[in-house]
Amino acid sequence: MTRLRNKLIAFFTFIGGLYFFLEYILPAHIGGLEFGKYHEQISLAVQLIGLMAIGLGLINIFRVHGVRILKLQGGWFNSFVLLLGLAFVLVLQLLDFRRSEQRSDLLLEVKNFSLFVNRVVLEYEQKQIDYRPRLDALIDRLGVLKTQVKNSSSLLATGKQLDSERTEAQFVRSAEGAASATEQLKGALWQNNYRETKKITLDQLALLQSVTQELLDLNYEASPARRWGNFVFNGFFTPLGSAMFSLLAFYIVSAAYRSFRFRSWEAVVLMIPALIVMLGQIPHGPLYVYSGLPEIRRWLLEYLNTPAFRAIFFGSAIAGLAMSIRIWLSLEKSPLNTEETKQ
Amino acid sequence: MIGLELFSLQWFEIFCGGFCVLAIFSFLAKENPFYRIFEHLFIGISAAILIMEPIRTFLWPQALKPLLGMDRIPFPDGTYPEPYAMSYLLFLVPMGFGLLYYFILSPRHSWLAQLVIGFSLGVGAGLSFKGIIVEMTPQLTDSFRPLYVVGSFGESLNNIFFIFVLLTVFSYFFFSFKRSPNGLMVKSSWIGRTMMMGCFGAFFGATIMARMALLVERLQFMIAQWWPALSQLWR
Repeated sequence: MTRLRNKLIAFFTFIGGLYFFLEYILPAHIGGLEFGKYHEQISLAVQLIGLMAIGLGLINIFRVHGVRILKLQGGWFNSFVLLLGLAFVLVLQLLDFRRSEQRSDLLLEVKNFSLFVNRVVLEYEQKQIDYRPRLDALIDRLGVLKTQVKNSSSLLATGKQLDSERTEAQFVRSAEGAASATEQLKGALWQNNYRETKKITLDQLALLQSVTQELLDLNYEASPARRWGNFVFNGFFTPLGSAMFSLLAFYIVSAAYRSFRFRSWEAVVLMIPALIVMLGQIPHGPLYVYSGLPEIRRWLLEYLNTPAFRAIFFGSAIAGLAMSIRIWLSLEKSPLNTEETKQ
Repeated sequence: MIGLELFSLQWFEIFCGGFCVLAIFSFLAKENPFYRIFEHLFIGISAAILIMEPIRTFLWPQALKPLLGMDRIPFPDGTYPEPYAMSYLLFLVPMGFGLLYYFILSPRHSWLAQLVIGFSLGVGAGLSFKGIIVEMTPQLTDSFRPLYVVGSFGESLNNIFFIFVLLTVFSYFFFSFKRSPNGLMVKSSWIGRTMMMGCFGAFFGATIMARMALLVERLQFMIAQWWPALSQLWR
């Protein structure tokens, strides 16, 4: 049974790599077959498979830190802070996401009005489908959106913000203009002379669309989830990340002091380019010692750093290629192999 | 800070930002609980952002929304711009397969998770063929430089040095045949090792400067934004 499972795992590993390997080495067209025709869909499917594991990370975090809190083990308060930060930001992100989705849906709906008018006219021309109830539905919807803005009861209402009242008034005017133009289009369709009126209606709807975009952006930026999300990002995430990485500067300098002393030939060779690169990057001030240093720094990076790194990269790339083949063909001893793990 | 209202959200943003920097820098004195708490807070916030980002930018808009038909907004008369594409149902196959990851939590059925892990490893290996060759080829062609450039002695010398460094560093990693003591390969690999040291030095210098830039940015923040915001408390 275990052997069968291992064969099955090896088979799935092989299948996983097979498509992308063939997609690269085979020509785009083999006879009548276009090999990469569904490449985008297959790539999407592979990404989806990987993304399904997101919840696993979350479960593991909650398992590890949740147990520590429940058992009041050492560092339980740190775990509590971690989970609190995680939960708080998750809730904020979810609220922000919901708002952002509602915003894009509403914008798409308004964008679709032009498409709708075109379709109504086309279907009337080709299939004689009655345009009146359909255009009435559009006029009603424009009326609803206008009322919502007036009553401050939708995503289009921004509250009392800078510039928002002006934009809200613009929206009301545009909606009224679009509704009136649609009403005129109905009459023009009845008289079978609608080309010019249709153009005016579409122009009005395009204007409405741009005002809607502006209003929705204002509304989104003013939403509590967005503002608190920015607060967490700028007040905690960015400073903590920058401070954490800049902290390493102290340790690198301390390590440099210990390792760069002239104790061996290699230490000297290591130190001189490092000093040139560092001094060559300083634009002015007391450490700006020589105007030619930036050029020497550039030369070092281009003619010493590049070929040396390139040689290392070529070596590691060939090794990586060999390792990929071993993994793909399940020749590599793997912790996935249950038989080996048991031994 | 001119124009910053005391106890406003922006004020708290700057106040908390400075507090975070102090907490992290307190590690320079010694490891302390204050640092630990903020370190864990950073991990929590980062984890939440990393979890939500692919959901917001990929999973929902590219897969779940079309699958549930929520990417179609109805027209005012209740009709839809386009019919629901049944092909979106095919998304259920990779999603179902991806859900096998969760069997890793069950000791009895964990082998099912190994199927999907194996598949992902296979995909990684398959993609790496293309990735490595695509990345390596331009660098390889660029390495074939003319050793003599007409009319430019400096360029010729630079190219000769470039090839010399490349070959000597190569020779350091070349183990395909036995090296005789004081032979050409031993000397060449010694030079290659020296060249690599120079390269690491330059890389090291660049890394220090990048970290220093972050440090300077943080110090500027503390001096130009945080301290004035804090001093509003007793002004």
